[in-house]
Formats: sequence, structure tokens, C-alpha cells
Amino acid sequence: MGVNDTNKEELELKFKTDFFKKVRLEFVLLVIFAIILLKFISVFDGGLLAHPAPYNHLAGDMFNIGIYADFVKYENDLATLPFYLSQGVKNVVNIFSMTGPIITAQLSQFTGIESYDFTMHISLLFIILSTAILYIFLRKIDNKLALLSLPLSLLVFKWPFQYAITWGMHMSNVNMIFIVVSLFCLFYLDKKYIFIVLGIMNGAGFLSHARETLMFNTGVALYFLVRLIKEKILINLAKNPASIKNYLKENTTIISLKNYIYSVPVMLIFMYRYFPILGSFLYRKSTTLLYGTNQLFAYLPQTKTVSPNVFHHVFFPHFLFYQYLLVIGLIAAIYFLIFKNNRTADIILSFSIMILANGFFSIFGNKTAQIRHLWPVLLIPLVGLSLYMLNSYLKKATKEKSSNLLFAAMFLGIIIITAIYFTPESTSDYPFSDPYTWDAIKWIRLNVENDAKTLILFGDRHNQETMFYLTLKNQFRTNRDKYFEQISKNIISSKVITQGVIFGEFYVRVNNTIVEKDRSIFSNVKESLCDYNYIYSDKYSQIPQVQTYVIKSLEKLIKENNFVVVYQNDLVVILKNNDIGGICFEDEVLL
Amino acid sequence: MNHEIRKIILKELKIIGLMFVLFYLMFQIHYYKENLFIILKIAIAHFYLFIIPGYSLCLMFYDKIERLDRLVLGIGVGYGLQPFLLYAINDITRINVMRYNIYVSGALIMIGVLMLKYTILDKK
Repeated sequence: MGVNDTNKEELELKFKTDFFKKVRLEFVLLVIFAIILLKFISVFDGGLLAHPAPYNHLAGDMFNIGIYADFVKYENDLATLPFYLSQGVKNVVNIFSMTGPIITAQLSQFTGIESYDFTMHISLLFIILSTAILYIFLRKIDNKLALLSLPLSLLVFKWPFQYAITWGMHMSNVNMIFIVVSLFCLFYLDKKYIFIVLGIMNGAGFLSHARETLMFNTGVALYFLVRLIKEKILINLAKNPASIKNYLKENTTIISLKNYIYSVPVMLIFMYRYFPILGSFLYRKSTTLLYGTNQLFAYLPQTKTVSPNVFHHVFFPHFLFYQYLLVIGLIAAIYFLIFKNNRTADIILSFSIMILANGFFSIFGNKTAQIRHLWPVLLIPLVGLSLYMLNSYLKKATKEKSSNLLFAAMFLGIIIITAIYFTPESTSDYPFSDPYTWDAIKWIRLNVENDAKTLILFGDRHNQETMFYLTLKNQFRTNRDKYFEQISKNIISSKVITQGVIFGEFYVRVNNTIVEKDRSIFSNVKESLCDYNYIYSDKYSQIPQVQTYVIKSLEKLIKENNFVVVYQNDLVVILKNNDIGGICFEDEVLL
Repeated sequence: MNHEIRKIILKELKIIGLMFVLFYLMFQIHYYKENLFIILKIAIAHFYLFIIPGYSLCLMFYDKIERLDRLVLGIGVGYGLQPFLLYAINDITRINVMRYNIYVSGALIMIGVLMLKYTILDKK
């Protein structure tokens, strides 16, 4: 027992005390963050999981997940669309991303709660999990950097970013978890069999929402490129190609690259169903034009001349003070990639840089720039990096006295400022669907025959037509513009212009080959009200002219034709036609 | 051998249990107006259907990857692989996925434990 041993023990004790202090501080700051987070997400579902109707569904895409989850719950063949999503056409290939709906359907079955309630649940859960996973990854670099990254993620709950939650980016939210887990696969990619996990993540990503997975892989490409250049592997291989054998045995980058290539077949197994139709996605017209005047670039600054103000689009000014931190973080990330040699940092920074870059391009097709709504989560490393640098600078300026206190004050300050500027407001509970509408939809589900056609007449909130696909029956809707034209003429007519399901892609399997068809054949068809088995209508409208017109039409159907009321509540009425294809009432001028 | 597996699994169950409590608490606070039983069911559903199967499959990395990172990988594998398997089985059998989903999750947990056993054997 010498003096040295005693010193060592004291040192260990000191280290442990310091460690526990740090852990306790980190824990306290995490709890504060969690409280703010729970406050932020409380606006989305009113403290309830189960709601009497689709809650906070602010756009048609929100309903898609519930529809496809019900399709999973009730149908036996997931590869072929059911009649209510294909307008009765047989053998229509289902190309919808099914990972989200299959997860949703199972949770719905397990709990006995309607599928639509899990759209919000899964979006929120997966956003929080993705943030937590990124946080755990950033801890590998530095605990403080990881903590300082967190506040930015709160922005995702504030408009316009919350579009990702309330407007139906559910599939992107599901996919986000696969791309952040893939970062861990990259970290361990030199280990045996990890390529299988990476293959599963990439495959599941493609099945969830392929675009984000493609974007992630551009980050992977940048990471490998940076490593190959930094380690001078390319130069060495050019000089001595035989050295590849040594690299394959000893070099982490080359072993990782080899394993990345091994992961591709695993990913392809996941995509087997999509091979016949893959090509059609590559030449799909981009909507990024809406973001700017250039076809390839979507301009970031929002100005009147360059970027038309589409209210739900994301531009840098929406980040307020964070936009400057993002720019500083981006510059620092590029500097780190070039001049520093930290493999973990290379993985996460390559990823963030490419996710940021991809928000400007439309090369991956329709709606690529929607990734911007998820920037608050996916770009947390950049903000973390700039705040970490600021913290280090302040620490030096204060000569490293009470650095933990400084760090805690900085973290809390940013959280408070974020809470002041970015606390989300409560949105409308039932903007489209409400308990009356949902009750009527359920009645149709249970009582309408599978071969019956239901016509949904124009209603004030019927512009998100996917909501009616939840009837799980064959249904058509009146074309809003044509119907308005008809109303403005003041002539009640039994002829209406109708349209069917609006999903864009339409592939039919014919004799083992797949043929693309134009779905517009179901649109703008002029038909008689008496050709339909059921007529669904709202009783009230905020536009008096519409209400009078609709009520008069329904009265005429009951009085002059063979229609009877089979269901009604305070808002909705459903008529049944007992003489399908019969002669309908004649046009009448409305006084 | 079996004793070793049991020891590893018991250790792993601790982190799963901790995660479960965290999930449950988060759901309970967020859905504060909801029935307790429903909250419990939703937490069990997430864990039994996705997280435990994924985590179980990642047990094969028990000596190569630290526990928290394995949990992260397991979450990804669970939510990614289980739905794909259901889809693929449906493609072959045309049987409604709701009729066999819980068995697939159970099978994945079993496969994970078997893979752990073979990993330990391989190591020896």
C-alpha cells in the first residue's frame, strides 16, 4: 500500500462524484425538456387517445392512413386494392406504402380503438422517438452537444412545421425512425451481420416513404466519400490496387463500405412488390415549383418575387433565431468534415448536411421539399454544433469557472425562448369530420351493400374527399365547381357531374403483366341522381343558396321519385333509392 | 449454457422494463383523460408487437454493441421487419394479417432467443 495507490483511489472517487453530478444535471435538464415537450404536444389530441370522430385531421392525407389501416384490418389481400378504393375495378395493384397502415391496424386491433385515432398517435410517438434516438447518437460525440441539440426539435409542433403532424405526413414520420436508426447501423457497420439490420432499415424505409430513405443514402454517400478522401484510401488504391486485400481486413471504412453493399440485397427483398412499377416514380412531375421559380431549386428565403407565399411551406425565416444557428452549424459541419477526423461526427454531419441540401432539390420527385417540415428534428445536430461552439467560447471567456452552471443556464435560456416563440396553438378539433359525419359513415359501413353506389352531395366541409373512403363502400362525389355552376343557374336538376376516388396511381394486373391506366376516366361523369343506390348529404350549409338547393333536391327525390330516408342525425341525411336507373325528376327553376 | 442465456435475458429485461415504464408514464401523462386500461393496452401493444421482437433479434449483438444502442436498433428492426413479414405472409397466403400478427411477433421473440443461444455457442 503506497502513496500512489491512495492518490489513485482519491482520483477515482473524485471522478465518480463528478460523473454523478453530470448525470444528475443531464437528468434534470432532460426532465425539464420532457415537461416542455409534453406541454407542446398536448394541443394535438385533447388528452384522449380515442375520439368520437377523426380528430385534428386538417387535410385529406390524414384520412389515408386510417383508410389503409382499415383495409389491412378487414381485407385478405393487401396486394390488390379493395373495390372501394378502385371504384369497383378488379385487380388494381396496391402501391400505397403499407408499413404505417400495418402498424396502425395492429394497434387498433390490440386496443379496440378506431384506426384513425392512431394517425396522430404514431406521428407524435415516432417524432419523439426519432429525436430521442438522434440525442442518444449525439451523446457519442458529447453529452452537452446532444442536450443543446434538443430544443430545435420542439419547432416541429409549431405551424408551419406541424403540417407534418396534422396534414398527413404520417408516412414520412414513420420513415424518420428508420433513417435515424440507420445512423446507428452506419456507426457499427464494421461489425459482423450489422448489414442485415441496415438492409432492414433501408427496406422498411422504402416501404414507408422512399424519398427520405433516398435522402439518407445521399448522406451515406457523402460520409463514405469524406472517409475515403480523409484516409487517403482512394489515392493509395490508385497507386497500389493490391492493397485492397489489407483494407478489406483492417480498414473500418472499407469494411463498412463492403457491408453497406451487402445490405442492398436485404433491402431489395423488402421492395420485391414494387419492382414492376418502380420506373414510373422516377419521371413523376415535381411540385417543388411551388416553392420557387426554378424547376430544380426551391428557394429558401421567402420573398414576394422569388417564392410565392404558399402558407404551409417552410422557409428559413420560420426558424426565427434558429436560422442563424443552422447556418453557423452548417459552416462548422463542413469545416469538421474537411479538417477534423472524427468518424462519429462524420456520420451525423454528412447526414444533416445532405438532409438540408435535399430540401432544395426536386430530383426525387413529387413533394420532395416536404422534408423541410421535418428539419426541426433532422437538423438538430447542426444547431447542437453551433450552440456547443458558443458554449465552448463562453466557457473560455469565463475562464472555465462553473462551466456546468453556464451550460445549464444556456440550455434553459434556449428552452425558454423556444417556448415563448414556438408554443403551438390549439387547432380546430373537427375541421372536416365530426361525430355526426363519422356516425353516418359508420352507418354506411354497416348497412350499405358492397355492390351499391353512394353519391356524396356537396357539403361545406366535403372538400377533403378521402374522409368518405372511410365508408369502405363504393362512393362518388359531386364535382364542387360544376355543382356551384349548377346552383348559380338556379335550376334544380337531377343531372350531376361526379368524380370517383382521387388517388393518382392506377395500375391494373392483366395476365401477369401490370398496365398503367388513367384514373380520370371516373372523373367528371354526368350522371342522374337516380342512378345511385344511396344519396348522402349534409342538411346545413353556411351558404344559404347551397342549403336551399340541396334541401329542395332531396325533397324532390323523396316526393317525385322512389327515395326514402334511411338514416339521419342532426347534420347528415342518407336517402335510399328503391328504383335504381328509373326516370328522375325534371329540371325546375328555383324561385 | 441455459443458465448463461437466462442471466443475459434477465439483464436485458431490465432495460425493456425500464423502457416500458417510461412509455407508460409518457402515454399516461399525455392521454391524461384516457382510461388507464387503454393506456396499458397501448403500451403492451407497442412492446409485444414491435419493440420486444426487434430487441430480441438484436440480442445476437449482445457482446458487440452496448445495450442502449441495441435497444435503438431493436426499435428500428421491430417496427420495420414485423410489418414487412405480415405483408409478405399475406402475399403468399391471402390470410388476413390480423389473424396471425401476434404469432409472428411471438415467433420473432423466440427466434431472437435462439439466435442468442447460437451466438453464445459460436463464441465458445
